[in-house]
Amino acid sequence: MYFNRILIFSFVLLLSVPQVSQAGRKCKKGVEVVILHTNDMHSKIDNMAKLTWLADSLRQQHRYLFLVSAGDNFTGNPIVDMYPEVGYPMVDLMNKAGFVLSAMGNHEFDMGQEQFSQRRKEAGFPFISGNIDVSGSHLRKIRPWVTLKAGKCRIPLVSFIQLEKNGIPSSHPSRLEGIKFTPADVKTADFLFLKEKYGMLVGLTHLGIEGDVQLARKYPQFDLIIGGHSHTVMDKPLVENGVTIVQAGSQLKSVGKTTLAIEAGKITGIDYELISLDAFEGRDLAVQAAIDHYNDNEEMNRVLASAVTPMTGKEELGAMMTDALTAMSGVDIAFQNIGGIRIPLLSAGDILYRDIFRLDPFGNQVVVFEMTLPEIKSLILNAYNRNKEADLMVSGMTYTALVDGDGSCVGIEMKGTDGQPLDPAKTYKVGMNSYISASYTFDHADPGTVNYETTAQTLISYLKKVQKVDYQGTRRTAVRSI
Amino acid sequence: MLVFVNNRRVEVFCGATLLDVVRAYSLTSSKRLLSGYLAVYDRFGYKTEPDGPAVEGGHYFLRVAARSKR
Repeated sequence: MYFNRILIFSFVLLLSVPQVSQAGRKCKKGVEVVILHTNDMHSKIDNMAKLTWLADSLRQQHRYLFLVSAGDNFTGNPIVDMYPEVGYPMVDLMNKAGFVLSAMGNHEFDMGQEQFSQRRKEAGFPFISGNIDVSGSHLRKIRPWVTLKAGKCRIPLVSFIQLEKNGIPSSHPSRLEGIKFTPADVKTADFLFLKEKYGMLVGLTHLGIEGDVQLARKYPQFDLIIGGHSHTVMDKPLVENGVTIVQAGSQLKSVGKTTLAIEAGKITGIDYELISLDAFEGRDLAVQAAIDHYNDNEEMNRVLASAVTPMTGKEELGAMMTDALTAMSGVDIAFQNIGGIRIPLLSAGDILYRDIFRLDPFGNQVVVFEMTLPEIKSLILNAYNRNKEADLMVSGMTYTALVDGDGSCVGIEMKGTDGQPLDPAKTYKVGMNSYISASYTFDHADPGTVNYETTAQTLISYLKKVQKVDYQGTRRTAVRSI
Repeated sequence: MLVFVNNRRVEVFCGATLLDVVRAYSLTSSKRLLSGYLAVYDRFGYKTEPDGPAVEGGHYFLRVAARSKR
């Protein structure tokens, strides 16, 4: 009986003693760890020399400094996106800057699985994500987590990618073939053992600030979440449910510097500051030379296709731009606003990559709507009345604006490419750029969906496919006074 | 999708950026946003870059950008 009492007392005593993780026993000595973090750089390379200089300077002051990215390193700069080895300049510069880790962002998929596989091989750092299963795709396995080693301490970082309502990240579905995704809040449970094993848990996520807040509410086991995706410029951290959340804007304008104080295997303090790289003067000269090389490269002067005749005026250029949408985006009808056609002519002869970004420099995305004929009519009519001119160039149909004595459009006559009236019973798939979609007034029951391709990329794909274009004399819009 | 700008409902296509949202809210405001005079802030009070994705049901606020304040 006495022996049993001792046994029970010992057991209770054991439970009441704070549990020290295995890692905590090894990681006794206090260490300071600095994590420099970027997110959503989107191929913006111009500040990489400043980041490299800053990271090197801080390495001289801090023994344990790690440079990481919270995803979306690619897409957003033609110099990188149109490089023959798509995205390579970004990987090269991230290697030179000393990145040790990147989360998978939705735009990592934009270049296609084959190209991304190659970039992963070239990267001197792993891409991680805990809610991506690539076993049915051409990609090799993506690790869910890694540890950063600081002396005898190991800091586990686990990553998750955002998913849309359709269960996939914001990227074109064709690029995600064979890949399965699971919501972050479901998968997180699989990785809570990291907290027990290492005494701490850091998220390097691509969920957006709303997703990070949800994760923190459900899993207070996280000490810190370094986030991305929403392009949030966090000048101070957000603390939710005891979890510190940070994020550093986008386009490498800023970098986050998060300093962890680690004592006895636990994070005992987190200090965060946002450092503006735009305002920063120091730069690594070797990296700057590499940036200059990429910016000056001849790749943008590559020949894409040839124009049999010159394209003069917005009708002819607009016809080419909209034909690209109907040919490449699977739409019946496409529109292009004349304000988005930024050059007056394209000479006969070679069409270069550079020409496309002069013609269509805005980075607008393609948006697709299911529309009825009255809805299409309302779009054309309202567009005309913005400036009392035929504002929308078109493919897949022609139209005549019926204009009254004041110059206002009061009616639209529409015909198919065969010259016959369009089918009033049919719903048409209509493509247009995101500027028209957002800022023009028109009736549409379908809210529209972006297809994660820019109009410029679509035009490039079209010209690569057709190789020769001839739009001389093309007229698809007309105006008639009534 | 439905979002809110300065507490006003704004309907915009799925996958829109915050710039698209502000264009749908007011073309004049979008020009001021691009000029740097205005900035978009989220419901937590953080500035958000205009190229960031809008979240369905999200609440955004247009304010004079901090650096423009005197």
